[in-house]
Amino acid sequence: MEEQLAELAAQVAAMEAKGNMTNTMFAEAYYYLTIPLMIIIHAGFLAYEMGASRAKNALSSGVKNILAFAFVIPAFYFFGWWVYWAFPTGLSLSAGPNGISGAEYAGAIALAWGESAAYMGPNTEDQIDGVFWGAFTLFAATTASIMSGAVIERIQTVGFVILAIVLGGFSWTLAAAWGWHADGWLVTQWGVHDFGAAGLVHAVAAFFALGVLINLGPRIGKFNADGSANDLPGHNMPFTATGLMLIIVGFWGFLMACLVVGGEAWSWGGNYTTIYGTPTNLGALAFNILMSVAGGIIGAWVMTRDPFWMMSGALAGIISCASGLDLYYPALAFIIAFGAGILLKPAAGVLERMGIDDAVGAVTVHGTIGIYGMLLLGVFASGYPSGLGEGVATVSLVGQLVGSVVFIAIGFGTGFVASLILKMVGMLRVPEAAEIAGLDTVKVPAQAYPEGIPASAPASQ
Amino acid sequence: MGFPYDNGGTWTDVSGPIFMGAGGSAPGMYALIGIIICIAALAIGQRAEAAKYSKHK
Repeated sequence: MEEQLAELAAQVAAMEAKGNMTNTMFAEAYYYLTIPLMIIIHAGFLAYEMGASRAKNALSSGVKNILAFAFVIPAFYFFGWWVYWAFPTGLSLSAGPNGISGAEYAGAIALAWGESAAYMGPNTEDQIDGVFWGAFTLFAATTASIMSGAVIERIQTVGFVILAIVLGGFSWTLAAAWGWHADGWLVTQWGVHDFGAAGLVHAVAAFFALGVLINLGPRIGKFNADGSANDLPGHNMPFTATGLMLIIVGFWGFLMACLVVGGEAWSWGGNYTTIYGTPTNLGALAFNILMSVAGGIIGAWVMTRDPFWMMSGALAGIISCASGLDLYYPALAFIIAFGAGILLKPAAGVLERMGIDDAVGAVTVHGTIGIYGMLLLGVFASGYPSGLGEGVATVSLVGQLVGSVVFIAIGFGTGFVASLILKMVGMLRVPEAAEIAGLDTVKVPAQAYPEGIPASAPASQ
Repeated sequence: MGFPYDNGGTWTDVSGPIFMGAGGSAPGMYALIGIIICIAALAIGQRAEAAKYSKHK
């Protein structure tokens, strides 16, 4: 009898081990697949920016975008990942209540040298760090791409890359540590809830861009002497609209990566949760992303009839609901996103009247709408617990307001200071003559359209 | 360099970090070289870019 029990116990243990391994492999594959999906965001930003540039700057805008992607990846490997795990409790670098933060913890798992290098490379006993780092790296690269569109056609390439490294490696990462981590002080003390990163990715990147735009100045010809603005249309609207659609496709991967999957190292049990440990699932995302995309497009169509703003409206719709995609009722998400679509163009107009030349409306789409979404969540989700367990802080309008102010301050402050330093050393803006000549002619050893864009006659019947 | 496990040169019973240089100082050295490459690439890029702009002033 004892032998049979022992055999049975061994079989149960073996089955449990297999189940755990299956969970781990599922979590690994899940995050791995979010990475190529998020790379589609960058394909989209690439097309979007090149299309939104005038033909004389098309390739230069593309080069800038590609380089931001390339440099943010090693920056996030060498120091960004450490920032995320070291700073959640504030600037003290102390450990938080969940024991997964602080300088000691970050130094043990997130540095590319010393003992922690074991978690920063191929390891048969660690199937999660690599894919989790990969997903976060793509979040970081996305912030740089958000900023990239706003500054096209007059920023220096290397100066821009340095800004991308600051934003992708530090600014948004600090915001994520504070507001997108179970030990984050904005979460534990203020109940900040930003499931899909409307504030800590979109708004941080947008306000970083705003800080840069103030130092960078508008494109030549954008504003008249009396302060009125001229339209400087990009050379390829279909390319821009297609790029925006690709960004929206990629955001399914981005938001998928915002879930924590059961069975991975930092999971909260056997099922999906948010990064705060609160319950959610992919069904919530399917309902609310689709309804918010639709609401955003319809709102922008009602206001503008313009395909550029309609596709921007789709993105704004997602961003407006991103903070609460885990909690919104889909019809409410639709209403909020519709409001974002309505707000979009008037909000961009306000920025333009302030003399800010945001070439693609990035500050409005990601910043204004990101904060709109953060605050509305504070209204509708007020009273929801921000984490697991008893006595946790609850979501509130005040908490969301505090979170928004902190995210704006991080983004704008670091963007303004970094770009001011670059301006002082002559690395921010291209010379006037180069801008007038076109940046492709000045510095890109290739032509976007060597044969022009000829209109061919239709075949005869 | 070399296989980091002292078990007869097989994959049998190998677990943990399996990358080249695991457990030694090589990862730190590679990281340092990687950082230097990034900084050098930016410096070279900046110099080339400034040279291009100098022709359009």
